[in-house]
Amino acid sequence: MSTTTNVRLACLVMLASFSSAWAIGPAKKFTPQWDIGSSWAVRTEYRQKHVADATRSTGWSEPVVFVYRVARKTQENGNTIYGIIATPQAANTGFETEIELCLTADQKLSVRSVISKRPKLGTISSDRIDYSLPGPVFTDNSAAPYDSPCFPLVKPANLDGSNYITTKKSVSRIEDVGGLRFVRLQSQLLKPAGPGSTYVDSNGKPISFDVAVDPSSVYPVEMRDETNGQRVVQYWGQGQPWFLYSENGSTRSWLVKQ
Amino acid sequence: MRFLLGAMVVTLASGTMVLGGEVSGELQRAPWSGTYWALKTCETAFASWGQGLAPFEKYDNYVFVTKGKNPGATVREADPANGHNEASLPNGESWTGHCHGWAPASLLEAEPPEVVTIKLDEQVRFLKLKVKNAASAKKGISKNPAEAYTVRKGNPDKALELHSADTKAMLTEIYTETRTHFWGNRYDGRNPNRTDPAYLDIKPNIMHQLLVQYIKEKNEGLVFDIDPGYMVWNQPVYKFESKWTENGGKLQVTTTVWYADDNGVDPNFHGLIHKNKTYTYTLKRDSQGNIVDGEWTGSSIDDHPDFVWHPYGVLSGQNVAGLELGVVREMIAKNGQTVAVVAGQVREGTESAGSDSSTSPAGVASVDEAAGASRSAVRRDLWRRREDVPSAPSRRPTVGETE
Repeated sequence: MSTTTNVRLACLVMLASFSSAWAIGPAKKFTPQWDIGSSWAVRTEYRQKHVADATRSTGWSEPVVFVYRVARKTQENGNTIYGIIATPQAANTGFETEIELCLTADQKLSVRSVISKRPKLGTISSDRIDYSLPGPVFTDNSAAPYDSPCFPLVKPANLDGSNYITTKKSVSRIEDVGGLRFVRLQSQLLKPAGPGSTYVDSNGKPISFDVAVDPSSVYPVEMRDETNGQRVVQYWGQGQPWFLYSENGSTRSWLVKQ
Repeated sequence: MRFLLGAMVVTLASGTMVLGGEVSGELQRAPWSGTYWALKTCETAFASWGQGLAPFEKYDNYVFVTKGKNPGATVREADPANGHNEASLPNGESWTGHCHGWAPASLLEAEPPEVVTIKLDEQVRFLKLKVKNAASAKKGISKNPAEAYTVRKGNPDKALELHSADTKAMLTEIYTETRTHFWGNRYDGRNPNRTDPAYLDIKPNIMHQLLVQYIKEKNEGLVFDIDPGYMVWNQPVYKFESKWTENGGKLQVTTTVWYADDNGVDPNFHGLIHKNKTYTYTLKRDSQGNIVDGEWTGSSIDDHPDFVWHPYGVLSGQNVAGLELGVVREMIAKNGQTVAVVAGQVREGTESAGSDSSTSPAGVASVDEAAGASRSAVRRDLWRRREDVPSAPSRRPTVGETE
């Protein structure tokens, strides 16, 4: 069974209130880089809010470890296309997520498409979602998380709590719902880190990373879908292949030390 | 321009101006009904739909008889410490159960046959939990599973019969560990509170989009917590119909959703009992005519889905009873077939193939020892044990049993 979601993104890219931060100082930039065959692992826990027991409903599931592997790197019209495949570490689950990222000629990197496979009714069900513009992407219909901002992340050296860099994109997703057009307003925001190496989750509670990183190389990112209230809190690290930590309302995940 | 059903719907071809419209969707295969297996009664471990065995006892016996190891699913489920048996809780509520497992199982697994008969190549005496009812099970009973089982009285069996209730109970338990994607916040307040965002969501514009994107476009079922209050009633939604008219710049929408029912349904029911709910809401446009927001209207303000989720399925993670999806699928696939018995055999003229728990018999610990042994070695071992079996071992009070 295969379903294709044609996410027709008629986009108004209202770039971005690059606020006063540009004037602050020399910017540090970060875009993850991958080679074919490189791999990493992500530990993911899932919300339990559907469980009747209220004491469990606020907690998280047992973790699932996903292995992400760079399966291909190709050139296409001046763009570099990466194919990353995420599968559960446990064998023979039937789950697989293929994440395709596009690095454009002007060095913007974001998720372009995702194919999710999973067991359903005795077969493997497949679903494809296309994202036609560089921009923040929220995990949809995939057990393996792929929430991702648009890279590069830019951080002035002396960024502090009073200076945010905001890149907002307004996306009009046209759906054939008897002619109705639904809009999704999505944004990504680079946030200043807390004092020292204090990092917090979406509720402001301290978190730690599995992977040791230099605090000055950490990029805290927040992504918002202003239409449905979804909020993604992430930390990326210079030189790391994937987010150090990510929380999206349904899951929380850590890059696993290997 | 098109006109449908007496011009109730008038839509310009450009899609930019809508006076009215409709959309509907339905899964290619509807979910199946079942019960939510209330924690208050713990029927998965204590009720029987044939052969005097509870659903999880049938699971334990299948694995024991065919693989030589009792997995102890029943005793884990029965142990109040594990959260699935609230029979002895004075404040346990009757609505709490396994609906978060039944709903995804009914969407992702085909409905099992009404009866699955697994023939055995030798007669066996099945194991049964010593504790007779859910309220008698003591906390911690599963810490020593070898003590928790005895051999069922009566004639030996030549087959294991699974009914709808049995297989659905197993699938439901397994899918309590489904991984999910959520929309909307859970509201746990005891009274309606129209100022609480968690009470007012899920917002209707999000629900509307999800119905179209998942059910109509992806052929993927959704689960609605159909109760806006503190109770959670997870229901698998498989069909919707939505109509709207334009009024003062807002769309006035009426949407009906159909879902499989689990409330009051006979656990042994086979098929679909559906219910439906109708919601009303407005959808708001921005200056370009795009839908950007929505509000519940009328009775839907206090009666709309609390949250919505999409089940991915079971990736890993141990359910409370330790049931394995591969084993349940194997049992269903063995319908009508004969399987080889490796443990629990009864030879002619003997009273029992199991033994007394006090002598470490056919319970978990003893079969662990036997698991790696050859079939003949297991048989010899059982013969040897049988010599120690008292005539009525199942009536001896042991840990966890109240008499």
